[in-house]
Amino acid sequence: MRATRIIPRFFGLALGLALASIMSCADPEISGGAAALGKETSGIAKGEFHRAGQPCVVCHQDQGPAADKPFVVAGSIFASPVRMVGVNNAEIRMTDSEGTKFTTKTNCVGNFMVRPTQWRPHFPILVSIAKDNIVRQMQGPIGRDGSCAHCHANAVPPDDPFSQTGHVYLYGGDEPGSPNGSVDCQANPIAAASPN
Amino acid sequence: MSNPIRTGVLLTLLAASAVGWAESACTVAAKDTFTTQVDVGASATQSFAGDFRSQGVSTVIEKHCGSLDCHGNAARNMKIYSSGGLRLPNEAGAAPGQSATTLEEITANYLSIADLEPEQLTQVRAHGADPYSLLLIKKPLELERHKGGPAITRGDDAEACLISWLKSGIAGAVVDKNSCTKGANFPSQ
Repeated sequence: MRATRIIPRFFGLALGLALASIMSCADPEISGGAAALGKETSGIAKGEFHRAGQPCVVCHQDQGPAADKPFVVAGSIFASPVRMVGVNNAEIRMTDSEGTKFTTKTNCVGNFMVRPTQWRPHFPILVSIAKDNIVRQMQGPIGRDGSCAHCHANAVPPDDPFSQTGHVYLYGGDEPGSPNGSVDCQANPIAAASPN
Repeated sequence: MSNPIRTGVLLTLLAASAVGWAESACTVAAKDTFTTQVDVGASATQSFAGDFRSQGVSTVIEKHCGSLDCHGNAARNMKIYSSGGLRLPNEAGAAPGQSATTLEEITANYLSIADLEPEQLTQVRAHGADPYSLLLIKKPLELERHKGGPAITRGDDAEACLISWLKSGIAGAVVDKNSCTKGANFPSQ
């Protein structure tokens, strides 16, 4: 009698645990990649200004922590190769393998993002960045990764300088007339590293 | 030392010498990739590996396949090294985007390609099999699923370059250097 009451309860518990396990199933590569980016920088809320210079699509993809706001291409444009001061209103001009073109602009910390509702490119993508009369063309195509920072790292690891390159920049030095970025920006245009 | 032990030691030393000799021979062979004839084709006058470098085939592959997020990635198969992508570790400290692709990197690219499907490559090169049967062609043309999408377009110069290189083992056939030069002009808006 007692056993007949316990067995259904045990079965229900096991079924519940199994369902919970399936529902919480996450791609370890994605979750690991997201965790490796560190915590949010203090004073910058989650949103269009956060995590400048980081690989956006690690989180902003299907199964990522920000899957509700997916991006197909996203990144940050800085003024100089040595300082991480975002360039406001820089154009990112892209052409995909089928010849479709899409242009977007950076916000005041230098971030830009393209949502799948705006453009669904077929990789590889050719890209150039521009502001006023300054144009820089990327040497090679973007092959498959929508995050600029996947290859353009904020800090190239000193023990492996052969597989990554520095962050994306438009000028050789500070932006003319705006050495510290946009003064009207709601967030600090000088990117800070995320705390661990 | 007893006889069985002495025999064992001698055999071990002999085996070690043989392994060392074989390794040396392999090293010499790798270094001479561009100076020795690769015996895979009917034409004795063509050098498959040599053409890969001198006719600009490597440059086409570097430009179309070797971006840092594709085959210019240390974690990917068919690794491609280039000045604009993944660099072979080097003492000069040349990083992505700096200085020209080196001879060692071109050699590594050739070995990446040759190791992909060695038997099928020999069939194409030496026995006139269809080059479109190779992953090297099927993948970038998306004749087979390719996560990186169409790295080359049907009918373009890059395709002509690669096909001519693969067919250059046939007597009288040569690599289409003009197509290789044009195919290396990538990306072009």
